[in-house]
Amino acid sequence: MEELSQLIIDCAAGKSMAQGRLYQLFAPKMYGVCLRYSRDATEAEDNLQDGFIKVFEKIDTFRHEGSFEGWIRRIMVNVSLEKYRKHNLLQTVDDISSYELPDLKDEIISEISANDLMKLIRELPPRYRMVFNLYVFEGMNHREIAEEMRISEGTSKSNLARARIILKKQILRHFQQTENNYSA
Amino acid sequence: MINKDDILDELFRSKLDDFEQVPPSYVWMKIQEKQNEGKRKRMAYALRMGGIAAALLLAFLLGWQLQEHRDLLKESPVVAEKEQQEDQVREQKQPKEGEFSAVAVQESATSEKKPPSLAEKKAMAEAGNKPEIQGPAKVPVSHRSPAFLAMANVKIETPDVIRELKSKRANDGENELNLTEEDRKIIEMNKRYHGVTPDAKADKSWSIGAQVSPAYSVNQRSYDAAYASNMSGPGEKQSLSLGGGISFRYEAGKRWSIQSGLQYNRLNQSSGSSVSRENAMFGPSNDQLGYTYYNNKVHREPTGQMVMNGSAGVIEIERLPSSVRVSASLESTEKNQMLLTSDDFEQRFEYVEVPLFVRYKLVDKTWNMHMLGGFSANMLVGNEVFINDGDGRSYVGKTKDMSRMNYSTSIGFGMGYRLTDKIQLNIEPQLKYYLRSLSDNPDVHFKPYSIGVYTGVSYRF
Repeated sequence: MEELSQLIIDCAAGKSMAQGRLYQLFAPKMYGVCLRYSRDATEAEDNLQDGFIKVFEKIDTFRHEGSFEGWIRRIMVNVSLEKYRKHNLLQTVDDISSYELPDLKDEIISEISANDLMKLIRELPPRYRMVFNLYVFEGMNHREIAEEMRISEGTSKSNLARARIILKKQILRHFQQTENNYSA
Repeated sequence: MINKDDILDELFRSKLDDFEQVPPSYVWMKIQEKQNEGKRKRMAYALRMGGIAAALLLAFLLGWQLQEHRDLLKESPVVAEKEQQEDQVREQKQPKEGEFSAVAVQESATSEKKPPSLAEKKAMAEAGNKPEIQGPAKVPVSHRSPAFLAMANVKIETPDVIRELKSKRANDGENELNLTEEDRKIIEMNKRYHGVTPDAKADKSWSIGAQVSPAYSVNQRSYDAAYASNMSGPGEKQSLSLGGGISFRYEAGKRWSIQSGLQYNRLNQSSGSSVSRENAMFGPSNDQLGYTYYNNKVHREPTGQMVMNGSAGVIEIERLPSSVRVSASLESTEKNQMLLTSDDFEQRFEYVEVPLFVRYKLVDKTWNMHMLGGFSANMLVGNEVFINDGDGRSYVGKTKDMSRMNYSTSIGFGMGYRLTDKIQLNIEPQLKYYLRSLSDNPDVHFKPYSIGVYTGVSYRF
């Protein structure tokens, strides 16, 4: 912990070695965060790059009170949100008809990999992806999401519901099918 | 009962919340590059702001000086009139019997604090009145101006006595004239502010100087992505070179001077050789060649000219030393080849600079200090590329698309020591910043700044 504090202080002093070390420590985790918020790996790399540049610029404002990882993560999320706001403000989303889908079986839940889920999230339309991420991973409520994304709470709720339907449908399509093939 | 949505959310959360993946290594390189670019921009911004601040300060000091000078000029007409009218005053002191002078009329009128009207004056002249003669000290100066005399429409005739006095003054000097203490003070003040004292005359002088300068240059560079991907190693950003020249300075006043001259400067940019992936895979190995080699991508233009992307612009290769070998590139067409060498390239540019600087003297004693700022026109007179091998430097070619003329701005601080009344030693640290890229190639942005310590001697005429 003290080592991390010293690392943060050194980074704030502009020491390149410390910045490199900090990057090594947090880049893999933050790349995972960026991948969830991005359409593809290239966009995630861009967000990671911009995020770390911001981290090094603002690191002297970190007060050593809360979680440093949470602080960096928040910066990565903000960078992703900024990029989303810049490029997707006028985006329209196709309506997804709401209907009942079968439950996910335990076998599927246990077998599906993190990479598979990551792929599914990245395939979501941008707004659904953002709302789903903010709700599920950042623990925001719909009012907070609405503020961040400059949409109404109703839209946020609707987007989350639709994101869930798409994800569930995709899981069932890919894995139910596989299961059926095995059982056939 | 667990909500179905919660199950889905939990599935994602449990598997992705701690998801980690190592990003590609080039992401960190890009971050470092961006950070360095930011630092360069901040540095360039600071230099620009410094230059503007120095220019503003110089402009302010110049304006302040001019304002002060203008205030003095406002006072000076009175003093000048006083001198012009000295002869008239002397005439009044020794009038000839029966003579009538216009000045006497005027003096008389003004002595009563009420200037007579034109009709009154004419009447007085016709009546042959002899007005009372008053001493000059009692006469308000403003009423004795030539303009007033003209308005009075009185014909001025120079009497013989005035001519005699003028002649006497010319022969004997003004010391023999009966100047009052006040007159002398005014004349002294006039001399001081109108630059007729011996010292002031010396201020308006020319000086010629010669100086040499070791200059430390920092080359700011950026490239188009396509250019950079085929470029040799960027090499060192810093370089040290020697310049020198002559300067002419016109000292326009006690503190201000204008300087120009001719200055020779040299800029160097090294281009390190680089290792490309294709050659690491397919090129001849180090063992085959018998020495450690690097390689640089070169391209043959339709004219047969071999070119290489260097750090300061495209290098047109004219000849290569025996230590450099050319290898076919297996990655693309026959027009693309590889240079195999273990040596660094050096792009050298020589400039003749014509500066126009303004100097402001802060301290003017045996040790004097001044600040300076201004612009220079830089003409490219030398453009060569060398390769530095173990045996020395070999000429390779020149850099393409270099701008023939460029402009730079300089600020500096100088110190001088007067060895004699005429000869002075000077030391002047100067910061020079090129205002635009030295290369006309749109893919290359090469804009150095340099810090030089100009040391030399000047001679004052």
